[in-house]
Amino acid sequence: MATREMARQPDVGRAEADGGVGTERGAALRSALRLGVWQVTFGLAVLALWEWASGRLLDTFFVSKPSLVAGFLWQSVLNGTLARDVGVTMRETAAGYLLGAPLAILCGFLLAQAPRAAAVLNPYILAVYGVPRIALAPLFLVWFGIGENSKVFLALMMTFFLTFVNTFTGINTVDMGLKNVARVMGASGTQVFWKVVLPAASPWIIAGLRVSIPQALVAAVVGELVMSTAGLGYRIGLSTQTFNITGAMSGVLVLMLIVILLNLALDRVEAYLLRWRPPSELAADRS
Amino acid sequence: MTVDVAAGPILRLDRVDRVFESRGLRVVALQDFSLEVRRGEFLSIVGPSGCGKSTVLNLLVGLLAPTAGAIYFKDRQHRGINTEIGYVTQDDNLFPWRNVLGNVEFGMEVRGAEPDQRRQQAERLIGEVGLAGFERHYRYELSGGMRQRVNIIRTLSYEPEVMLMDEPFGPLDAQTRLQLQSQLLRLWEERAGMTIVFITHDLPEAIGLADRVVVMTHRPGRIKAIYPVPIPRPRDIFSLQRDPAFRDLHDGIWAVLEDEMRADT
Repeated sequence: MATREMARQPDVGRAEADGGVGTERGAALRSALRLGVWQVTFGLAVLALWEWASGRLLDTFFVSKPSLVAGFLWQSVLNGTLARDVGVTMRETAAGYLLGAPLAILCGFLLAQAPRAAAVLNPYILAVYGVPRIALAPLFLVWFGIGENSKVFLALMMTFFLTFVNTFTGINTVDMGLKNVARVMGASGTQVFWKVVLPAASPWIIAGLRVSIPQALVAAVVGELVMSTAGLGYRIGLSTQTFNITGAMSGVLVLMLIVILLNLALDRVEAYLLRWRPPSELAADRS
Repeated sequence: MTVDVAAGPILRLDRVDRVFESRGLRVVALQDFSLEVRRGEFLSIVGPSGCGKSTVLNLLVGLLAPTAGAIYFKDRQHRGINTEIGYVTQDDNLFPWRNVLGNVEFGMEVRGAEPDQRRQQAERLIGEVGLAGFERHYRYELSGGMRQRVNIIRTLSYEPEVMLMDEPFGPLDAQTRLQLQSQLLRLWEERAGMTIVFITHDLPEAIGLADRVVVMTHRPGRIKAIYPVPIPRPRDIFSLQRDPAFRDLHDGIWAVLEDEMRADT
């Protein structure tokens, strides 16, 4: 079924180095630190290049420069607009996510119990999922208004589809051998579901939940760009339209920062929840 | 270890047929297959690949239903999954999200045992197979031999009267296999009255462990012959190869088995 290909593969977990072997843990930390240093250095180098090139190789009006952006950001922190914009966008994202995720898991579970219904619905699910958010945004606007609700529904929709597809696939691909062994050991149907199927499907479900968060954020921002009265997307759109490239860059940078921080946090949560998964072979090559 | 013949077979397959149909192909795995398993015995089943050995086990545990004939457990016809039987397969099927302790406790957990009891019993079993210290390890941190040991004690945890084992040591290296065979015998000897039905393609393993060896024909599977193993217990798996009684029995059964394997080609 095509929905299986759509589902995001669960992330292979990272092994927590056995605390007993001290040098192993030290080595892992040191290499992570080294990586961090490289990443920060790269970022600083890009900023330095940008600062230098703007005004010399590129027109400052079109690309702005880090010093201007920093100034603008600081202003928006002082006068509270940054906090307000970020607040609106995060609120929309959170609302859409917190409504969509449980709904998606429930539907994924229900449909996994009804394979025939699932087969009938499959092409429709794919069709709706395939429509780009930006094409749906104006429609949602008409239905739910220019306020936060339309963005919440966009975020909800993205969350729902990603998590639903992953939940459905995860439950369907649970190893029969595991279910059999549980039944032979005396587990009832309910016990098999809660103690075997759900845990076995959890890498898929968690992967879906995890990837939905940044996607929900993107959906909310896209909605704001189309039409809104507040939020980060609104700020970026407004700035661009008034040729305030500095303002637009600031908005984009803040968005990037949020995404980076979100991903960092989510990666750790996912790694902890899935710590029982065998570490990826690639992990050995990362030095 | 005393086999109780008088009390009647603990398990019985009575003229069982099992046919598989898939994509228009009809495979007769077993035909008119009858077998009695005596209480307290260690019974090995050998046969050429594809002869239906695993099907026999799946029928006994109830994961498959016979197309004809009946399965009897303690003299009563049994349908459906038999949860009073322990089932150990080649795939360890350990729950990867649970550590060793969690896996061993599972059988007791679903049967409603108290947490303290479960913990104690699990720790005892873990120690019995030499895995003390590995209680909190996850499946991916264990070797194949360790996983199978956990698989076995997981089944023993709720003290079933019968254990069915389907080539449990198949994928392991020869040395580990001998060690686990020895360990299995010790575990079995500690549990008076427990019956084991053990499937393997490894003839020395079958003879070394069992009281009786059943030789199956090639597909459709039937019983070709049953050989009692008169080697006294307790047995030392490691030195069995040198025992002339063992070697004679091995050569005798091998000739019969060889016939069946050739007939299949």
